[in-house]
Order: sequence, then C-alpha cells, then structure tokens
Amino acid sequence: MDGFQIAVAAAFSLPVFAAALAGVAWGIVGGALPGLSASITMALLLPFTYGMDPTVAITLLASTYVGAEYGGSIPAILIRTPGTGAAAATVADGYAMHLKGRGDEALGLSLAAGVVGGLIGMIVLVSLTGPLAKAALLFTPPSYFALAVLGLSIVASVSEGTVIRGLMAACIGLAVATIGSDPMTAIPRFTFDRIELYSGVRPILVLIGVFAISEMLIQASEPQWAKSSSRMRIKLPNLAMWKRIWPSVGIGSVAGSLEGVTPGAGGSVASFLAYNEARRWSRHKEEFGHGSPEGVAAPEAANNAVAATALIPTLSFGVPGSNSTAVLLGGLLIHGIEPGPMLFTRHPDLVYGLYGGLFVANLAQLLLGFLMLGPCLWLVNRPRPYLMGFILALVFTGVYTLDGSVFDLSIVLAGGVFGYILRRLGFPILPLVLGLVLGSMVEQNYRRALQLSGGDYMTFLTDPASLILLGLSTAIAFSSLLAPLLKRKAARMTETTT
Amino acid sequence: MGNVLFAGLLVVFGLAYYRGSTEIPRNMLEDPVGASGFPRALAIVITLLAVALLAQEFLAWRRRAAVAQVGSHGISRVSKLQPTVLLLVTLIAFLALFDTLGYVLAVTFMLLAVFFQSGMPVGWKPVAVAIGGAIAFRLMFGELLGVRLPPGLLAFLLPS
Repeated sequence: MDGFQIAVAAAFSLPVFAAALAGVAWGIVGGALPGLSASITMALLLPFTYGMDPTVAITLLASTYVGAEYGGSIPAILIRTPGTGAAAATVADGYAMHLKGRGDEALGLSLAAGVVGGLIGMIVLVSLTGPLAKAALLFTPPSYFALAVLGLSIVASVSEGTVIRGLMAACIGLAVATIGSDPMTAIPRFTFDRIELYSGVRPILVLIGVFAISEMLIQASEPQWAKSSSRMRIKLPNLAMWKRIWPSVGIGSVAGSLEGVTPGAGGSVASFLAYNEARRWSRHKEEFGHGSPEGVAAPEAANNAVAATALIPTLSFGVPGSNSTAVLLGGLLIHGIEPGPMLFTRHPDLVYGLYGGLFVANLAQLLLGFLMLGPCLWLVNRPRPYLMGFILALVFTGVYTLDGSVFDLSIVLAGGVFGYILRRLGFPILPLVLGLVLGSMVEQNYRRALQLSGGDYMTFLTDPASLILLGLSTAIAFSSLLAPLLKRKAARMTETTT
Repeated sequence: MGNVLFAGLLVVFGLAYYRGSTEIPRNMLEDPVGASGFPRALAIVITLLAVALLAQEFLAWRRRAAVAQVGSHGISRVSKLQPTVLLLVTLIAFLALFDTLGYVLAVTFMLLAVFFQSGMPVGWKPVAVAIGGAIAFRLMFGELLGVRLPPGLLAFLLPS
C-alpha cells in the first residue's frame, strides 16, 4: 500500500476515526478552559495512551492539539480571556464583536477560519515532511548531534527570558535525562540506590508535572475568571463574509505554516504575526481592535495551521518545536517509537495513519465545534476550585494507572514544583522539556560520533553538516546574547543625541 | 534577590552534578566517552552557564535595588505565594496518605482541601461534590478500566 492508501484506510478505520473525534472534542474542552493550554490538555491524556495502538494514540494527541487551538478562542471571544496562548490575538476583535452582539458570528469565523487554516497546514505537512525526512537520512551521528544542539539553541534563544536562562533550562533537561542506567553499558547513573530510578525518569512524568501541576500551582493564586452567558450559538460565515475574510485566512495560513516549522515560534507568535499582517493588507484597517472579522479569522487560521505544520520538524528530524509537539514526541517515545527520518521506513503506517487521522480531525472540528460549545460554556461557568480539584485528581489517577507507583506521583509533583519555580523566575519551560525528550538522542549520537572517530572531537568539525549546524547554533546563541546589549547601547546613543 | 539565590543554587547543582559524574563506575567494555563522559561535559556547561547567570542576575539585582523602593512589594508576594504553598502541602499530604487512606478517601480529602483553600464557602455542596467525584473516579478507573487502586481504610467495603 502506498502512503495515500494507508492514510485513507486509517481515516476510515473505526479506532483512528474515533480517536480523531475524541481528541478534537477533548481538545476543544481543554482549550476552552483558561489556564489549560493545548500542551497541558495533551499531557493530561498521555497516561491513557499507554495501552493504545501507536497510530491511534498519536492521532488522539495530535487531534487534541487541533481541537485545543479552536477551543482557546471560545473564552477569548466570550469572556475576554484566551483559553490558550495562541488565542490571545483573537481577544481584541473577538470580544469586541461579542460586545456588539456578534459573538455567534465571531465563534463561527474562528471555527471556519480554523478549519481552512488546519487543512492548508495539512497540505504543507504532507508535502514537506517526507522530503525533509529523506534529506535527514543523509545525517551522520555528528550531524544528528549537531541538529539536536541547533534545535535546543533555537528554542532557548526564542523562548521568553534571556538566552542563558533558556540554555540553562535545556541543560537541566539533558541532565535529568542522564538519570538511570547508561543506554550503552547499563551502568547506573545518578540513581541514589533507588531501584525506581534504574530505568530512568520517564519524560511523560516530568512533562505532566511541568505542564499540568505547575499550572495548577500558578492558578492557585490567580483570581476566578469571568462568567460567560450560558446560551450562545455559532453562526458560520456566509458567502459575502467569505469574500471579505479570505485574504486574512490566506495570510493566517501562510504565517501559521511558516511559524509552525520554526522551532520555538509556535501558535502565539503565528497568530500575532497573522493579525498584524492581516491588518496591514486589509481594506478595513480602522475596524481592527473594534470587532473586525478579519481580526478573528487571521489568527485563528494561523494557530490551526501551526497545529499541523509544527509536526514537520518533529516527524522528519525528531526535534519538536513547541510544547505541544514535545508532548506528542513524549507520546511517540512511550510506544518505543523514535521520531526522525527512519520513521517513514520503519513505521509508515503510523505517519500516514496520522495524516489520515488529522484530516478527519480537521473536518470533524466543524461539527464538533457546534456540539461542544454547550459543554464548554457549562464548564467555563463552573467554580474554578472544582475544576482545579478534578484536574489534579485526573492527573494523579492517570499517572497511577501507568505502574501503580506512588513514586511516579512524587516525580510528577517534583516536576510540577520545579516547573513552577522556573516559570515564576522567568525561565522558559520548552527548552527544559526538549532537553529531557531529546536527551537520549543527544547523548547516543554524541557517543556514537566519538566511537566512530576513535575519540577525536574534531569529528564534529570535519563533518560538513555538523560544522554548519554547530556554526548556526553558535551564531544564534551569540546573536541572542548580544542583541540586548546592542539594543541598550542604541537606546543610550539615542538618549545622548536627544 | 530570589533570582540571585536561584542562580547560586544552580552553580551548586552544576558542581554537585559534576561530582556525581565522577562517581559513575567505569566499565571494561565502555566506549571512548564512557558512561560518565556526557554527564561530565554537561556538568561543565551547566556550571559555566550558572556562573554567567549568577553574574547577570547579581548585576540586574543591583540595578533594580538602586531604583526600587522597599515597601509593600514583599507583602503582596507573600500573600500571592500562600495559596500555592497551601496547595503544595495538600498535594504532599495526599501522596503521603495515598496508600494508607486508600484511593477514595485520599481523593475526597484532596478535593475538599483544594475546594476550601481556593475560597469555596464551607457547605454540604462541595462535600457532596468531593465524595461523589472520588467515587465516580474510583468506579471509572477501578471498575471500568480495571486499574488496581489502593483500597486503604475502606478495604472492607470492596469485594475481595
């Protein structure tokens, strides 16, 4: 069977179809709850994917990502509180439309633009992932090591906070990944004679801790969000509206596709970029910020395109570019599947099955958007203490189902506390998570490279691809380090001249 | 000041991690890098980054201290931390008592603690929601999904 046939067969198979629908529904609910980002919503599902077929599990997680991107716009439009970071750009015009009594239209725009953006993102995903994975097949161990270092340094540089903090977070993630038996000689490392640590710290536990538990610790001191009207409908755009918004949807889809493949950028950057560009090219610039339909359509198309294209670096190189794709990578690792170029030859059923499932998810979003609105509004209007309590119960019970181990629960809690401290002190979380999930790949390729060269470190500089990638990493890290200094100097010079 | 202290802790972590990497036993069959090679290199990078971070944070702190007014800032921070610390204590107690109390009781108490700490008025409704929620979770995970959950003090209620 070729890839297309596998994708079609998967899309029509009951488990993948059901996973796509369930994922979108769960994603919409999670996205609609302020404080639960797409990555947290996905992380909550991770423990339940253990017993599933890998294709079904990955489809479930990826569809959750798709649903969450739409779900985030519901509270953004109705209560001026974005459910996810990526929906922040929708707040200005979505909420303004709602105040003018056009909330149903804003929800419809968000849904329709999201579906179109998601489908365009899917086309980009299918067209680029295969060729890129073929190119990645030429990579040697030194270049693979350098690629992981590049991924980490890009993410560390573009994440919030200073580049040193980003790099430090990445190194801490790598350090946690070294706990447990050495992958090559099985010698125990940093296990403190705890038998539970001999198999290492499972990334899933830390992922759940740093995303879900740290968010609950933060939410504990946040005020209750506003309540929404419990009766609301969705009105899809008519032909006249489509004529007006299609350039914005196009701009959003392109911005989302570009940002999706860039590690570290993610949905938030894409939606703000799309919003600004849509305003720049709009014939109704003056309406932006006061309830412009284009101001809703562009960011929503962008963040749904990101949900598809963010999978490109994850699947082709094994280097995730966002929190959500890091969770997805965690889902792949749970099933012993190593993403990267070999994924297409070793598990074509998984890759093409995922494409099929994602296609179903994007289309199903149109129907589920209508069906899930009522439950989402009901949940958003529940007292937050109830939601917090039940999310915590779900997290701990879900983790306990893995091995029935209270020690695992302690790791989740420790990860949560550490994530909380890092977030409060302005450290980015993504490099930490990336360091953790890429740790094994980084170390194994580092050692393989040195094994092949007989311990000669020059191998990282004599391999052309490795040299280019390491050069890029250094350039990115230094430019990020120097940028604030140059900015400060420029500001001082402007001050003295004025 | 918290940032400076944390950066200092990271320096200590880097040094401790290096020390730990030197204690990894060697193996006759190991490759040129060995089981300790990567952690050792990583420890050096961590320590260097932590020192750079410490210097950066110290300079930033001095700059801030020069302009900041010491006032109610500290008090608002403490009051903001209080609910988080309370939640953390609740979760630690939940884990400590998980096996002893059993799943249903531990989850009920955890839910009640979270509800009341988050400002829910004391009344029968939150108590009913906590008990109902814990039983619903127990039925879903224990009976429907077949997960073995600790029975604890309520073992006598469950079928053997």
